[in-house]
Amino acid sequence: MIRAVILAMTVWSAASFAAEPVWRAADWGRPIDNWGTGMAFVCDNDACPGGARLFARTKVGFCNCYSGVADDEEIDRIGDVDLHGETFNPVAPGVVTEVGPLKGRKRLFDIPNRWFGTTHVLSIVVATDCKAVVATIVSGTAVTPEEERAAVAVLNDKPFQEWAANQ
Amino acid sequence: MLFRTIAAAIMLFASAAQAEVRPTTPKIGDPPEAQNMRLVGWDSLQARSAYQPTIQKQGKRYIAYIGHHGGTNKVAMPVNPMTGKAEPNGTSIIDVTDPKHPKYLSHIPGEPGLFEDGGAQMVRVCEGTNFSKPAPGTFYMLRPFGNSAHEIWNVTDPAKPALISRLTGIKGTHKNWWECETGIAYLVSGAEGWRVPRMTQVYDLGDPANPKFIRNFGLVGQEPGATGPVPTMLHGAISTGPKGNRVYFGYGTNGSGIVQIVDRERLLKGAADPTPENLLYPQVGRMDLSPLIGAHTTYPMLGVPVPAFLHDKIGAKRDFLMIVNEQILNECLEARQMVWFADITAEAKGMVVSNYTAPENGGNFCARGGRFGSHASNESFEPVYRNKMAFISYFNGGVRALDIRNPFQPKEVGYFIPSITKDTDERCVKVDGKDRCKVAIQTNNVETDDRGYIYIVDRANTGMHILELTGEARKAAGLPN
Repeated sequence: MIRAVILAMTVWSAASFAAEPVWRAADWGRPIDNWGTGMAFVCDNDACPGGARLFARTKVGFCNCYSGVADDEEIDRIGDVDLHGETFNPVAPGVVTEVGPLKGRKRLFDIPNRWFGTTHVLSIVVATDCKAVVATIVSGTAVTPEEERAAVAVLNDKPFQEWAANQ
Repeated sequence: MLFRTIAAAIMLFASAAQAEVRPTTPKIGDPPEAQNMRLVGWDSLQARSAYQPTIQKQGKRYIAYIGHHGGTNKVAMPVNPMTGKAEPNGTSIIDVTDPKHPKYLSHIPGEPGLFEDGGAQMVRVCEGTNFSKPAPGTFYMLRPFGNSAHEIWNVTDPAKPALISRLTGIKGTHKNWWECETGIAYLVSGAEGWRVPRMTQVYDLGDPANPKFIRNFGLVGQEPGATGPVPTMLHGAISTGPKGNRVYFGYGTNGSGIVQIVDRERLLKGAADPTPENLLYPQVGRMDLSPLIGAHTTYPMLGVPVPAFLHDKIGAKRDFLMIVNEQILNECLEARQMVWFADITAEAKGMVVSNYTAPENGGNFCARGGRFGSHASNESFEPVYRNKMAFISYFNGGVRALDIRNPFQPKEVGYFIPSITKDTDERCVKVDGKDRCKVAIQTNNVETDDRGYIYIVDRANTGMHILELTGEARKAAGLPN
């Protein structure tokens, strides 16, 4: 009886776990620029049907030191969407967001491609003083709230925090 | 005053030692490091962080105007000894007629704020002789007020500057250019709706009390309503005026730089509505640089006779653009920013043909603290150094003197790295998540006057050093011994 309960719990747990996006470290794999490479992750389990990727790095001295990422002009200027396609369009106005203690904005974009279809992008830029954390979720399907939540958890996690603190 | 005199004397004495570049972090009391350059005079600038020097001949006097950054965390508002009051960093005005004994005349406070958020970083000065409202003998100063305004002052009596007018309603400023031969100004502003905090606003300031707006300008993609990638923001422009009919714009500082060459008349007279078509109309050339470098200063060197091409039927004289990048991060934590020379003889198809970077090895500059790399060049068009010598500010590498008579092969012929003082501020990097700080010279900008004196100012509060060339560098510039 106990074994049956344990087995049932294990099956339930595995099923619920599989429904959550899991980000694992990946290569940066994007063109070099003066902001350097950051940390990259891929989510290729069932919770990420579009094969989502997360790119996160810091940009020092590029943002508005006084007002931070206060409007869409600033997130469009600082964000990394152009690393993933030369032509992109905002889907909607950005909204205020937070990553831990850092405040900023997030905004959805589409990158059209005549052969590969549309790539969906969620750009998240938060800042303190003159230092911005720039995160970009790129997916073949619309970025889900679960993917975003899991990505923000990665940004708040120790490995990325330690890496960002030394940039 | 006594302290200043003693300090200047010590620095002059130390300068004479012509020390070699040292491979260690500098200490107070160390002599300056120099080759073929010598200290003539010094002013502390009230220990304010300095950005841009401009030297103006006013009658028989030479006046230095120095734009300052905002204050620092340690000293948000240094005390002005002339008023006895703490004042937000603004503009220092110094009589440098006798370069051995610069005389501080006045300080005009700037916008309260720290670092890039306050102060009055830039400054240009013109005599009103050829303005649309001619005013011979009247001198005007143009400066940003922090990031919120541009101001014009009457500085005919530089000890008693008087505010004339102010342009407000903007959200960014930077390195303006003012044509003294016309009064037309290319203001670096952040206009409402534009997608970058630094773009161009063209004004006719030929009647300084009544500024006349001409148009907003920028790269396609920066204008209001555009979507997609945002081209990197403007740093500043240099115009050759109605005679040369070109304006050279530098976009970006330390990455994804863009150089834009613009037909001045088309810029001033073309349709002002910022549509992509109207923004492209004045453009006659554009160079997109590597993502690893910016375009901070774009200084034209036109009609340069290239020694090796003396007998060539075509192209014996070339037009060049000296492109200076800006190093931003401390202790070499980014790609090296340097100086590039582009052949723009065919201005629609400009190409980089040579470069210069100060040698890091031997100076141990990456470990000295603060920034190491290029920032700006002198921008004077005076004949004394025109197309012969260029001076490049190099942060902890001081100022570097380049022989540019053959821009295909620029050659360093001298340098000067000032000594640190008790006022020199520290610069920090993160190590294990904590600040690790070092005190280092941060030579920010450089300018020259028609006598050949070289003025360098320090971002880390070490003041203004007035220099002259010696030895081989002096010879290369054609100056008398």
